[in-house]
Amino acid sequence: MSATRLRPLAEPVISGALLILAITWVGTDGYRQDLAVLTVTYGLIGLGLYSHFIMGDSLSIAYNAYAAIGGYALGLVATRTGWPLLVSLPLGIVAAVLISVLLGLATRRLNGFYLAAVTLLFSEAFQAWLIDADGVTGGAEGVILTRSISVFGAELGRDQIVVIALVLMWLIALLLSRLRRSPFGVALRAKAQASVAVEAAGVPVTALTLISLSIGAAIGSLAGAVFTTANLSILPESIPVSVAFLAVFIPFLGGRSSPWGVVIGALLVTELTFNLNFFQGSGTLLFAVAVVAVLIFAPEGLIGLARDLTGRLVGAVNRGGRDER
Amino acid sequence: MNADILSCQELTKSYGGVKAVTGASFTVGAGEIVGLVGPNGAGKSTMVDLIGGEQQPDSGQVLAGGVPLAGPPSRRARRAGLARTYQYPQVAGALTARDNIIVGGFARGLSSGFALLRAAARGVVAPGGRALREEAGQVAARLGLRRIDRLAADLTLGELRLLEVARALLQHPRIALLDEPFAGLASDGIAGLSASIRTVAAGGTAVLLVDHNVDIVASMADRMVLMAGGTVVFDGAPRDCLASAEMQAVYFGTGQVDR
Repeated sequence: MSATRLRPLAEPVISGALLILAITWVGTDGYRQDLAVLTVTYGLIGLGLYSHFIMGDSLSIAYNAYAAIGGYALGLVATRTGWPLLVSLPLGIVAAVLISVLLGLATRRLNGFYLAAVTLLFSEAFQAWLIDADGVTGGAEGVILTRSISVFGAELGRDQIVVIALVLMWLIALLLSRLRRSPFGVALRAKAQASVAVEAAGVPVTALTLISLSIGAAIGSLAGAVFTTANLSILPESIPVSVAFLAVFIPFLGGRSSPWGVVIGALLVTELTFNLNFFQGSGTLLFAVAVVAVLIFAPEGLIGLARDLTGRLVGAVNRGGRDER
Repeated sequence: MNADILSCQELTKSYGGVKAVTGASFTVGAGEIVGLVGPNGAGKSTMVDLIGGEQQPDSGQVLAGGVPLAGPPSRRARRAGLARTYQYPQVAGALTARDNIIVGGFARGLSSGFALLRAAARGVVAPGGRALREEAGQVAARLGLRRIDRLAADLTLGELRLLEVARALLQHPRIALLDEPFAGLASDGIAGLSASIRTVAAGGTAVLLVDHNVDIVASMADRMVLMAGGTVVFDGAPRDCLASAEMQAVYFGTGQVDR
């Protein structure tokens, strides 16, 4: 079999191997499981943003709201009805997608700073509503699950939840990476820079934007679902607006050229904000410094940096062997 | 003579009291190459924007195959098979030339927002697009665009014009609006582009060629439309157009030379 035939397999195989390594490393260690859950929560919010912020270049900061919708849908359905996860999960996704489409339609004339400002306002308003509407959402106390989510009658243990979460993030990153390369993804990325031409070529750009928003919102709602399932609770402050801000920088940190950059960025953010808490809460500050450093020294993120270094290494080796072309 | 694929009827457009185009009419038949020429400010760009749908006329209408052409550019592209290039190339610099080109082919299969949704679903399952990428390569090769896998940001202005023509051709257009495609092109680029435009027209596409370079346009157009001061002052065979009193007046009479 030729190398070009094998190339499409490289991405799932390599990333799958890393996934198995990660699952093995996490194992049954409670602390590592906490790290994994936080990484997946950040990772899924970041992957949601990837769809229309990095590929479509329009910045919506409503991701904490989408995550909250996914989390609350799961929590409320679990505590108030006997419906299974296979109902609550799609319910959260559909609700998040609907809200993203409505928000997208309402803001379709806005772009750049104004879109970001309006969606930020929506995020704040949504969080206030979560606290206010205590009849629906449980108010400031949120929703506490008394027992774990069950799938097909079997209650999920924490070990299983963590594995499912990691597999979910891997799968979403893999699918987004495929979407990015597909003609749809190419059109979406072209729209970011040459909207006029993409529209004139016959692509309905409003629909293109709304679909990319919907994909992002659906992934964002999964982040909330993972959070609620793993922590057995969801509160209005569980996923604060600041997380949406943090998520904006995750792709920059890891590298924007691939959804895998989001996964790398999420790992880093978790490490900096959670694991380095012995700095007495300076994790966020460290993260901010790291982002600034990356933006200055490696504008293409860590993936770009690695690619750059590999390129130089290969170049140096080649020059050693033969004359430059 | 073939049926008129594109027909502009008494188009008028003012910008804040300044009349850009006044009662301009002309047609382009299937398989015909019509050159639209005229000095700066003659109204050529306004005509292109009115046909393309970037601007709406104050009065008059544009017909495609006898049917009024209305709505935004994306609908015109889908309904009437309209493709265009830009005087100032509109490309995504962060994408390769090839990826920019396949956008035209991607758009070809889209009839609605739902088709777009299906394309997204297909993209997730299997990225594909190999056929489009190959077609992009073939069209680019015919045009003489060689650096197809480089980022569009690294291309020269001439290469960007070829890229835009390739993207338009991937739409398999029935009407092609080429806005200054020759400006900034080297001589081999001009040869490749001319040959491609002739091939496309031979396939039945109505080609409207807008350019400052009267000589190039005259060498390949079936008919020339000369505009001045927002109106059509001459419409006929290239040889007659070049020899016409209107041409002399427009380009040499008032001392304004713009070639």
